[in-house]
Amino acid sequence: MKFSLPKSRLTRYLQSVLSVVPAKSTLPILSNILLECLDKKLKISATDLDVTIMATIEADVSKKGSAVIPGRMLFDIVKDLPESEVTFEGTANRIELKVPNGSYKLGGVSPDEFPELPVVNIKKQVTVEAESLINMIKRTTFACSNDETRPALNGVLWQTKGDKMIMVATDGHRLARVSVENKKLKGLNDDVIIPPKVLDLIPKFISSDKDEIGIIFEENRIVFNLDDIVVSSRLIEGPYPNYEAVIPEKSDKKMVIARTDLASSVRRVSILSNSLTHQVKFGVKNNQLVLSTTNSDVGGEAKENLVCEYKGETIEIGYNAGYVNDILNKLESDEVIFELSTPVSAGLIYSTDISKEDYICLLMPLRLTE
Amino acid sequence: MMIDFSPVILHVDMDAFFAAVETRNNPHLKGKPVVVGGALGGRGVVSTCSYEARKYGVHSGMPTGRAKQLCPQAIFISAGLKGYVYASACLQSIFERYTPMVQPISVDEAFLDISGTERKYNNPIDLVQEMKNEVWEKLHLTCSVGVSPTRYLAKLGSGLNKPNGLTILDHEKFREQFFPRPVDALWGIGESTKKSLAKKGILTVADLAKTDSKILKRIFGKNGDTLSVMSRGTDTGKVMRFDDLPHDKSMSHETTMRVDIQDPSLIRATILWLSDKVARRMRKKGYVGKTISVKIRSSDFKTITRANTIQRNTDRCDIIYDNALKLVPKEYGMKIKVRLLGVRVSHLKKIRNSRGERLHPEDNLQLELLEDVSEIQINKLTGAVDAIRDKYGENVIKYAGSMR
Repeated sequence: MKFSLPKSRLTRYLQSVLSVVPAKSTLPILSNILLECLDKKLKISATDLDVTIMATIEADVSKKGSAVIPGRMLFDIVKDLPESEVTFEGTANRIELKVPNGSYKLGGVSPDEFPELPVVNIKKQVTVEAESLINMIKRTTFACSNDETRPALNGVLWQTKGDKMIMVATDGHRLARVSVENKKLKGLNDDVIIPPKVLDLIPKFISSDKDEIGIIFEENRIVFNLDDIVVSSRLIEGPYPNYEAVIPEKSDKKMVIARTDLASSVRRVSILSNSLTHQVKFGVKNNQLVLSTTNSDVGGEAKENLVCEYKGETIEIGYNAGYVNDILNKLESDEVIFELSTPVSAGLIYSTDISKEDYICLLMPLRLTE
Repeated sequence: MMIDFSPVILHVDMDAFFAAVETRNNPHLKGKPVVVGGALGGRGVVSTCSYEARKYGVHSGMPTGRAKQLCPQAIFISAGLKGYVYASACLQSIFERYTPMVQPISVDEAFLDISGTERKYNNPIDLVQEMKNEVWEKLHLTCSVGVSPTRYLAKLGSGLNKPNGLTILDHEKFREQFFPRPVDALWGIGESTKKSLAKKGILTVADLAKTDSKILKRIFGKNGDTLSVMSRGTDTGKVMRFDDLPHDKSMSHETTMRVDIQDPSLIRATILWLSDKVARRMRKKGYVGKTISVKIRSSDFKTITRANTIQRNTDRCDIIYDNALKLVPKEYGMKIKVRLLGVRVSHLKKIRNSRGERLHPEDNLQLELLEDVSEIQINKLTGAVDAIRDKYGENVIKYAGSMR
C-alpha cells in the first residue's frame, strides 16, 4: 500500500479514532488501528469491541492495501511533525512513514487478526437534525449512572412518543429529560439505551456545517453516520425503569432565582460541607433563599443569603451541592425555576427559557442531618 | 532468670493445639501419633499433629495423604472446630486475668503485654509460670511462651523450646542464637524469599541484618524494610486488644478440589459457594468492599490471581459471584484443569460495629429517585437467609447453584 496526505488532516482523524482505543486492554490487538487504502480514500478504524470508529479521509492513494499498526505510537509521531505531506508505504507487516526530514518504520499485525468491523446498512438510515441531537446529548449524559449493578442506568434512554423524540438519563439520584419535535424518527418503535461514552463523541466529531446526522438502528447496535466518521456502538439491554412515574406533576412551592448567582453561592458554601455527602441546606421563605452547611471535621460553618422569588410555605431541604451545580450548568438561562414539594421528595429544576416539557431535571434531596 | 528489658511482651503458643485437645478428650490417644486434618480420604491438609507424629516428619500444611505415607500407624482425626474454639475462649479469659493487653492472633496463639505487673510479681517469669500452671490445671493443655522486649522476638522465642517451653529472648540472645542460622529460621521468611536472598549472597540472619535496608527495599519493595526489621529484631509493634485492632483489609475463602476439575459448571458452582462464604462473613462482621479477586491454581500448580474494582461497595453474594466469575479466564475448566479456587474481596469498609449499628450514617442520606426494587428484594432475602443460618447453622440453607 502507498498513500500520502497532509499531516494536519491525518492528525485530526487519528485523534478521533484513538478516543476509542483503550489505554490498556487484555486484548493487545485493540491498541492497534486498521488502515485501509481504498480508491482515493484512506479508511482508519479502531474499536474497543463495544464502540467502533471508522474514519474515511481523502488521501492520495497510489497503491491499495491494508495494515494494522499501533495507534497511539503513530499518533505521537505524526502530531509532532512540522506541517507537511506525509507518505506511507509498505506491506501489512511493515509500514514506512516518510516525512521531509527522514522516515519511521513500524511493524504491523496481520489485518486478519483485527476484529471484524460492523457492516453499515445505509438503506436503513434515518436522519435527525444535528443541532437537536447534539443539544439532547449535552443535556442528558451527565446524569447517567456508572454503577454496574443497574446496567440500564449506565446509558441514555432514547425513545419516540408521538412526534417527539425524548432522551432520559438518571443515576437514581437525579434525572434529566429532553424532548424535541421530530417527525422523521417515527420509525423508532422500540426504546434504545445508548452508552453515554459514544453519545459524548458525536458533538466532538461533527463538523459545524452539517445539518443532519444519519442514524441506523440495528438489533443490539446503533450507528451514527457523520459522513467522514461513522461510529457504531453496542446498545445496553433494558428494560429502563419507569421514569415517568417519578416526575412530580405540580407544585405550590415554586422558586425563581438567578442561575449563575446561585451556582457560585452553592460552590462557595459547599467548600465547608461534609466531604462525603456535600450536603448544602436550602432554606426558602418569603423571597429569600438561605444556603447553609456545616462540617464538623473542620469545625466549618457557612451561610449565604440570596434573593429569589418565592411565595410558598417555608421549606428546608438538603441537596448534594455537586448535583445542584451539574444541573445549573446545563440550564444556560439567566433564571431557573425550582419546583419543590417536601424535604424528602424530588424537586423539579428547569430553565425559564425552555418549556418544562422540553427540558427538565429532577433532583432527589439528601436527608437533613441536623 | 531476671528480666531487664521493657516492655515485657509474651507470645503464648499452644502446643499441638488441636491434637492436644483431642488427646485430652480421648486419653487412649496419649503417647500416640495423632494427626488432625480435613477431608481424610481426599486432599485435605494436616492442621496439627502431635509431637509423636512429628517425629515421622509429619507437619501442618502437609497433605493428609502424604502424612499417611510417612506415618501409617498415626490416628487420623478430622478437625472438630467447636471444641477448639471453646478451649480458645477459655484461654483468652485466663490470659486476661494477668493483663488486659491481650492480642489474639489465632485460636491457639496470643501476644500479651505484661509491662507494669512488677508490683504484683517481682519477676515477670513468676507470672508466666503461674499462668502456664493455670492453663494446665484448668484445661489440661500445655503452651510454650516466649518472653521478649518485642512481639517478633517473643514469637521466635516461643518456638525455641517446644513443647511446654519458657524462653527469654532479648536482643543479645537473639543475635547469639539466630545470627548464625539460615534466613528461613526467621518467622515470615519462606522458600521464595530465601531463594531471592541467596542470589544476593545473603544466607544467614547475620548477613541479612548487615545488609542496608535500602538495598533490600530495591529488591523487595515495601517488604524490604520488614526484612530488615525482622533480622535485627527491632520491631516496634504494640500489643493491641481485639477491639483496637485495625479493620480487616480483605476477606477471602479458597478451596482445594477433591479432584482437579475440568467442568465449567463445577467452576461456577465453586465460585458461587466461595462467594457466598465470603459475603456471609462480610455481613457478619459488618464490612462492604469493592475489589473482587479470584485465585486459580491449575493442576500443574501454576497459580494466577485476577482482580477487578467495581463502582459501589457491596456485601452481596450475587454481585461478588458475577464479578468473580468474569475474572476466571475461559480456558480454566475447559483446556486447563483446576486444582484450587479462591475468592477475595478487599478494600473493605466497616459499616456496622459488632452490635450491628451503622458506623457511617452519612452514607445513607441521599434519597433514591427510582428505588432499585431488585436490590430491596435481594437484601430482604439475604437478611432472611442470614437469620436462618444464625439460628440453625450455615449449611441448612444454600444456593442451589452452589451444590457440587
